[in-house]
Amino acid sequence: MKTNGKGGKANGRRAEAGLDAIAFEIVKNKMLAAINEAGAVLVRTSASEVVVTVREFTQSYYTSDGHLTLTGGGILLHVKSIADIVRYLIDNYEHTIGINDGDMFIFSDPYLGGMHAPDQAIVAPIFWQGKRVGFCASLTHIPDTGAIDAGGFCPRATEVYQEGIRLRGLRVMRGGVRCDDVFNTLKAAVRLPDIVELDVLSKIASNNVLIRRAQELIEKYGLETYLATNRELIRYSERLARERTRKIADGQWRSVTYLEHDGQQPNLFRIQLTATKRGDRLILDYTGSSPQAATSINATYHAAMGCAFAILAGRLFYDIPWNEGILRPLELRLPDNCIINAQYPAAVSQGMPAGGGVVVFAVQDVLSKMLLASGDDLRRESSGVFGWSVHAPVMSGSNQYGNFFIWPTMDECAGGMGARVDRDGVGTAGTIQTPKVRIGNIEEYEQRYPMLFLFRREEQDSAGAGKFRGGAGGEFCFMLHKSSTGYIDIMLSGAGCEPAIALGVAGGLPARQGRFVKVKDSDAAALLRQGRIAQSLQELTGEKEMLPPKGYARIENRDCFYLAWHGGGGFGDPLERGPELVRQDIIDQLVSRRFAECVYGVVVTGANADIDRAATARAREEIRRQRLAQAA
Amino acid sequence: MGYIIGIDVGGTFTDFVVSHPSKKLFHGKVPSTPRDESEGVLAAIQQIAQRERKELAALLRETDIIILGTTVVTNAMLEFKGAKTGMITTRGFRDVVELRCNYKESLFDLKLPPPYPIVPRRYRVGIAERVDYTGRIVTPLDAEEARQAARRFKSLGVESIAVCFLFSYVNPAHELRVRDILHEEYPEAAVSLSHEVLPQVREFERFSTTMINAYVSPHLKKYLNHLTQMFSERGFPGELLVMQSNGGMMRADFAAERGVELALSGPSGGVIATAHLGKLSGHRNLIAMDMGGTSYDVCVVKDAVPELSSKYWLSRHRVGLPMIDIHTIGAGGGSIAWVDKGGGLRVGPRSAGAEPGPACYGLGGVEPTVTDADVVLGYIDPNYFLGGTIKLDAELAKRAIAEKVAKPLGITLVEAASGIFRIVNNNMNNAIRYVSVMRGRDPRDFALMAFGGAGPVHAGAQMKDLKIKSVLVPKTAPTFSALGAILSDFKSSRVQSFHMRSTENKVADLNQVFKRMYEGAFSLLDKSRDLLVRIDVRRYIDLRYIRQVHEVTVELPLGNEPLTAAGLSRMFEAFHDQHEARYGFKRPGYPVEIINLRLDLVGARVPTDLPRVARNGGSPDDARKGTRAAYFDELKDYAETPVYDGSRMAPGIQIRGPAIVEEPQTTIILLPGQTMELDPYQTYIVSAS
Amino acid sequence: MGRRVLEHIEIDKDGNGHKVYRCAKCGTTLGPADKGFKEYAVVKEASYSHYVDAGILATRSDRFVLREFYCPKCAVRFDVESVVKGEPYLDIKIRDD
Repeated sequence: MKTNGKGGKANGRRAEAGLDAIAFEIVKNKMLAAINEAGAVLVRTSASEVVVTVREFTQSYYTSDGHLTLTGGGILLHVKSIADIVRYLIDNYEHTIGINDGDMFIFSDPYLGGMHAPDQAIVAPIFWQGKRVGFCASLTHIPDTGAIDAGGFCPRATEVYQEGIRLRGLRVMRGGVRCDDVFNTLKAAVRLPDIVELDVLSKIASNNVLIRRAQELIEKYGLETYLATNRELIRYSERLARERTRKIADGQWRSVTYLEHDGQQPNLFRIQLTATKRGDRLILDYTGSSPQAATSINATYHAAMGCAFAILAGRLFYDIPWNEGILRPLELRLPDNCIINAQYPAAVSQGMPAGGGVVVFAVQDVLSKMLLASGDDLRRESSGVFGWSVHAPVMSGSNQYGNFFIWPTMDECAGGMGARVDRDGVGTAGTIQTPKVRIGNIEEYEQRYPMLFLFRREEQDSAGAGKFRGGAGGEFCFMLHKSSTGYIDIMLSGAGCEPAIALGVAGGLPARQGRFVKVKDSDAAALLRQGRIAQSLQELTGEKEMLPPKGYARIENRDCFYLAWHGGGGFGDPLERGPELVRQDIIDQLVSRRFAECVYGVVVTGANADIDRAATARAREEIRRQRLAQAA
Repeated sequence: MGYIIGIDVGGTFTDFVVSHPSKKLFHGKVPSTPRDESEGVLAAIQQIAQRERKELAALLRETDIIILGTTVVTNAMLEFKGAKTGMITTRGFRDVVELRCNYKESLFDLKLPPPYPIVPRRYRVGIAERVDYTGRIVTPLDAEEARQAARRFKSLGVESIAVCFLFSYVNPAHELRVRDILHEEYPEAAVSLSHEVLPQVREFERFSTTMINAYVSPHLKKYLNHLTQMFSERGFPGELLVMQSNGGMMRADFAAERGVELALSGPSGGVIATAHLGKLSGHRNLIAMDMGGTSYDVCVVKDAVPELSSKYWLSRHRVGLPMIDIHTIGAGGGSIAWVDKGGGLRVGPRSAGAEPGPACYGLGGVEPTVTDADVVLGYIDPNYFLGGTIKLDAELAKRAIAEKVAKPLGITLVEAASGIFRIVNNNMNNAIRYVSVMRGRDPRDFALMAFGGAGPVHAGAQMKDLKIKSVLVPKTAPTFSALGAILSDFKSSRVQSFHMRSTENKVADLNQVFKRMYEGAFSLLDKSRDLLVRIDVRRYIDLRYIRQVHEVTVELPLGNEPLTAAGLSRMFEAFHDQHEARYGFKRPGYPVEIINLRLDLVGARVPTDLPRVARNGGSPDDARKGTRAAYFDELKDYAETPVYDGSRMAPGIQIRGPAIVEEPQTTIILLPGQTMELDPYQTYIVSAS
Repeated sequence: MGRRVLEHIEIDKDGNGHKVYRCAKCGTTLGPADKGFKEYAVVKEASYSHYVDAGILATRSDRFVLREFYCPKCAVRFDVESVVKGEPYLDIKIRDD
């Protein structure tokens, strides 16, 4: 069993002597501003789709002994694990190779921190007048690691050695000077050396911002105030997090979610979460989950922790400064050799989209129910599960200019939001764990990659039904266009294609499953020439092959590739939904008439979709009758 | 040469500024008439006529131009009262404005509803047509489907139609054809084509901007036509001009088709006035800060030109056109101070607004606000707030701060008030850092131009924190936007996507595109040539390293000369250097790509001279009206501080802080050691100690 | 009003002071609160394939089921589980002392 240590007793109220509330607020805000500024530098200079569009980056400040004091960025998953990296750096290098002013160290080992080898962190000490006063770090997801599969998610890997170069603190900057030996080694190990180099430079630039701003703060407010604020930040967050935790109903909830495929076989894995809330402590116990897999769908401890943290931070502690203080009420219990606590050297490259990814769903599920049982202000925070098909298909091949490309598609991050207790979820609006994610413009995709999209839109009937429905999910379909080789490869690492995991709450239905479909040898191009743009798979000839959620596919010549991603889960019984709301959705073609009749019991007629009141009453009565007929 | 009249319609007042070659510049205000803006505009003109002791018609006959800042577009978007609008897109892409690239305004506000759909899904129709990224037609336009869409919109009473096709900025043939079809089938409908509104790659930005244009333009056009007619019926022979969001102005008839370009018509004038007055006072680099009751707006003026940005949100809908880059945060006199559950003191973003307003208003507010802190600290005289028009209750201010801040934190009243003052300053300083530091600029290279009722109270302290050397406070601030209107030039901005890698030789194509952009922009200025003394061409190129997603904009040498290959290489060199200056590194020798070309055509008018008052010197005692106790953090105590009457200040008089200068609409606080004098253009210049 | 467990399930005391589950919609007493409320609900369990025709789910699967729990009196749906066939009920225990 691995745990994050016991939550323990709360620290007292304001303890830090000599630090007034006003200096604390000012220094805290300036640190946050520095983190945002560093993020802007990363986004503006990076060449990685994942950094620029998904905003998969994190910057943070640490105490000199490696405690996380403040973090921010576009993704919540890594927030915790970099602190473990900083402590590794201190423990292993402080008295050996040394940690000096102007040094920066590069890490990418998922067994030290991060989720998988593409997560690359650069850690830098902050010095003031010759003395180390803290650390800062910047992390991004790099587009290639030199693994057996382009892009670094490796369905066929069985050991972490096949998943790309893993760095354990190489000194990438020494005394402010860039170390070309490290750059050259790294560039030689990956498929996209120029982009990876730019990403390393971006993180160095980001750290330089963090260092400079910290030094300015010390200069202005004094070293003691800076250090005291950093220490106090952790206690401050802990106090707020405990107070909020205390307001949640005491009790125990259980949720089970599944992985339907291990990358090679449709083997089923089960992730069981028992959440116990008592007083100001929350225990997330994964005892009962499946043992680790022989393939790369395992999550490391860091990934599982990061995923749990992301949901708690995003849904419960969103207005509290993120640092290790908000983790103190939390106890995470992970059995050994478990699918979400894999032992070295298990392959873990799909650990985030797979094992870790479904943790995201399980935590949301129990949290929604916990909140629903709590006081009114917390009850309003309950919602259906947010859609996110955990897909991240990685496309690669030769583009129309004859250059090699790797494109991790992130459109599925625009899932439907879960329904809330008093309103519908927002359609194609995004996940909790990657709140800043952007999806690219089709015009940019087609300019860069050899594809032509037939559609990208919200999918009808994709939202989980309920008194309030989830937000709609989406779908797209493309064919090859101007490909220089006539094919591209797709590496799939999805989940939630067989089990419906974007669950509803309180009688609301889950959203549909996600799908990957390959249409073999389609007539899409011929139809286009005739003036017809196919708008559904039915309109295309060619065999429709349902692809497994994980594995490989090649799209060649006249094939099309279709992807549908999750809407959000619904809230409450759909029979309690106002017929006029259903009608509006019908008019906007978000809900089909058939779905409206079968699920909502709402019958409309004519071009205006006028509600047939009598037929609606009858349909709803009939559904209720059928429900109770079960008892017989 | 006759009158030049600048009018700015605000929420409460319609301001005017009038210049005439042989008369003294003057300004004034009349109440705004939100239901029909034109009534207030007419009232303003009538008041000008009265002041000039002329009949309205006589005044108008002697007027060359009227320049208008309008809120018609802003209000249409704030209140969602635009035209009933439909959208025709490439089939399969009608949800572009719904997916909105997944932008979120508030990352963790999971309760935030979707933006108000100004064109709901039922009014978005996809039709068969497809162009690829090279401009090649993959699927021909289905004209019959376009006709059906037109008929359907007509039957539904849709008044305005946005036509948005993929890659129309490369090949606009289908959009143009659909316009013809719409004119045939439904000639009454207004039509906006995406490649005309914003001929730029990235369909979300282009579709959204076009949709807003379609939504706001019909009402704007009606309004401007009405004004034009109203003026011409009354004998106005000149031109009606409108302030655009890009800081320039445009003929009303052209502007009427481009509603989206008027979204920041009002604030635009204020920023132009900032640039102009700053320049007169010897400051070409400025940060304009407008601190009102609930919000704090900042905008950068670099080398006397307001900075523009193409990433604006208008009521949560994206505008991709270059507009003055106003950054707004929730901080103002009404911002509420509160102690959070962790024991931290916070200020804002919640505001007490005008009602109940700060506790000291005595209108029932019990939450302590920034204004309450300013009163407790002695910065604002409770008997002379807004020139004495509102009486404040200092006791209520004290009580609110004591109860809600000092007691919970276990600190004294004055510590609490000074804490609120410092925290709100810090929040505002972060907004300034956002527009400066975050964009690779050092705020120390800028002067602050402070306006808005609360701005000058705080600017001195901000100046100190940010190590800024000068703060400028214009006496003309109350009618600043109208002043900016009469100071502004014609400006036509063009953007066109153009893709070229540094390894390619497409300089001839590039010149061709610039030429077309120039011609397009020039056609809008051509009719107004009589008013112009000079036309400047400014060209820019958006560049990035290959695979980067964000660009750096590099300016070409002034003028319209075709670029040579050598000139282009110099641009690439300039890009490397600017990248390094902004982000701390460059990659010389690494390939670069061009994404967009930008062109601004600026038609300069005969400059309006602002009156200059000679420095007569004099003693501060001439303006001194008394003293009061004010708290200064530097002294850690209250000090009996001299108070000066702004209306008795004359150019040349120098004041040394600590001091308080009261103007009818604002109060300027000088910290110990800071000095201030009024310059010949009626701008106070505060200098750091 | 009792202690809410889910939107339409609450724990309350009956006339004898014993804790019971009630349907919050129709007020029906479901049974003693010493077991999970799902023991008293009408349960409909059907494989995913059953839900594809109406469009609720997109992909057939026979190893997964949706399990729906209804009020035996008013037929309001309390909860829906999406689980592998044979998975025990996902219970909720609220501490209400």
